[in-house]
Amino acid sequence: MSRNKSLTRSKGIAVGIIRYVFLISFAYILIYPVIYMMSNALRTTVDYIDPSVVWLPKSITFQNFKDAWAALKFPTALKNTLVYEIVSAGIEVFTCAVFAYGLSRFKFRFKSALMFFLILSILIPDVMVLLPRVLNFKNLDFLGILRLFYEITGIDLRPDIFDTPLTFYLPSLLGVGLKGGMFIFIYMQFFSGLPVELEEAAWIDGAGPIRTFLFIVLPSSGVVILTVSIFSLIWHWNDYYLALMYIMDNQTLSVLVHDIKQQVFLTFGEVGGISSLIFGVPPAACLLLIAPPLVIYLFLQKYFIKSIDRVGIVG
Amino acid sequence: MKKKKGGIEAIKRRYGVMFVAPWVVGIILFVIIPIFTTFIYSISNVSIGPAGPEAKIIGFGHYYKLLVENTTFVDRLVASITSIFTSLPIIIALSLILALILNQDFKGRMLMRGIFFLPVIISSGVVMSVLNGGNATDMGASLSSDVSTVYTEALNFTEILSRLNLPTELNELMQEYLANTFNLIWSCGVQTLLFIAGLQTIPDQLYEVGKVEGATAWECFWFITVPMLSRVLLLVLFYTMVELFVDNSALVNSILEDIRWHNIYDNTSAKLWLYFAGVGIVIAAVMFLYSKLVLKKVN
Repeated sequence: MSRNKSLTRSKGIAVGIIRYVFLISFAYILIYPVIYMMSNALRTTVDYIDPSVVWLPKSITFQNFKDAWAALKFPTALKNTLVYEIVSAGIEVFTCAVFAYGLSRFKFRFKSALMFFLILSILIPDVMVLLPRVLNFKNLDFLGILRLFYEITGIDLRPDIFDTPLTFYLPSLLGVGLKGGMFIFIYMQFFSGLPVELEEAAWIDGAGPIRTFLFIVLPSSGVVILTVSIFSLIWHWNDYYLALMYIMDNQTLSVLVHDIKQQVFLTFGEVGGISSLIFGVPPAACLLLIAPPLVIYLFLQKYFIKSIDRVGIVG
Repeated sequence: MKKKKGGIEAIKRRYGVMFVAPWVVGIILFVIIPIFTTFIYSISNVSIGPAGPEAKIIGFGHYYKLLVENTTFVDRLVASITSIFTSLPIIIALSLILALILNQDFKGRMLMRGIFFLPVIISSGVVMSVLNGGNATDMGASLSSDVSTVYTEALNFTEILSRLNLPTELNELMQEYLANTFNLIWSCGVQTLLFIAGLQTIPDQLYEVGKVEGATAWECFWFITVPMLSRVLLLVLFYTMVELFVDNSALVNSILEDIRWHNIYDNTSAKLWLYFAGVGIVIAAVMFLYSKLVLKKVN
């Protein structure tokens, strides 16, 4: 009996050790870039040449952050990200919930066809539809009706919304913005697990579906709204392709960080030899990009992980 | 009584249509029409007139150019499809293992979960591409190869591999995985998270029944966990495939540059459709394997 017990115990310890070795060796890969960025962003030019400096800089400086801030024109870039991306992320959190509710609660014709298109919209990479979208934004039109009108009468009613925030808001309002299909899918999984009785009671008491949705369904969907919000915010914050394609001048933070080398050149002119402008500013710019979501994540982590535990997003 | 119920059903139908109507407009306007427009452009000569883009249909000349005359794009496409087939199973397996471990109770679980969700936060390719030397340095400090080298050298995996006398193809594949350790693990964030969410929905009773019936841990995993995760797995597969296709920057960037800077619309559309065909092939193959391997077990 006792031999058996000690056997299971030592087995438990062995499993524990394997678990930690596995986790720590992978955690190393995930933490490495963060430490790498910090270490490089805090150095002075001398430290990049000094072979004795591996991780810890000999003198710590925040000059790289200042330079990165100037090269990115951080306040403007941040404003652009907020105006274009974050507002659109917020719109998406709401509209996708509406569409998912419609798809999961009501029966109507062509529903299976719509489900097919939902899966299609999840699976089609954004790149595939970017080109016609960009051209269409320049002369916004529906099914070519306004174009026909223009060709017959010579009056152009098509608004040019390219390079305005509308290029982000419009698809988000219609549920086909950045990863919209994915969010509708996540919401649907949650709504189909929600008990119908509550909503039926509201119906009987005379609340229409819209009021039922706003005052009964949404308030009881806190967990899934939190999950979708976090994904939506982060993916919009980090979005590169859409911003690159839809925006001409007022570029967002992530695009500017991606082209940081060029931004440094535009701000400080040609940089020769070994300089902190080449080695220190890019990591500093990356840190400036990931700092806001990271800070928010640290605060929300507990709720986020708990909500992941509870939503059963994909059950 | 019956009539009234029918009335409610009709009202419900109407409300349902009302709820989804804007989305249907969105799907038509921003997904379906663009896909067809792209196809028409791909078989035309496109110029921008006063009324907007004008397409004159010329046949499959653009495809001929891409497939026969200058195959750089197709070569890249084939390479990226191959790399999807090799990295997809590893990413799925790794994130499932990570999810299983992070779902257990142990000391420091919160910290570990925090670390392993880092890729979700830094999910953009932006940071990685800057750090990977695309823009960073001439010091040869490409981060991912740096980290992967630490692995191969510290444990001397390469040496071990060559001693094992594996078939050449398998050996090469393993070498490739080792060289890509960094990127593979960094692509596991969202998947791990989705798997954890899925694991949470499996009722504990199932495992208790399994234990009572005398099932080993392996059997519990294979006959309870895997079937119960089949739907999450589908979502994870979708997500991973799309990410892998979009993340392949050389391929996607060449397309984006053509649109953004060179205003080449017709030839790029042909590229897009070839790309689309590639995506379709991968998805079809993965779905086939999924239905053969996973769905069969569920039933």
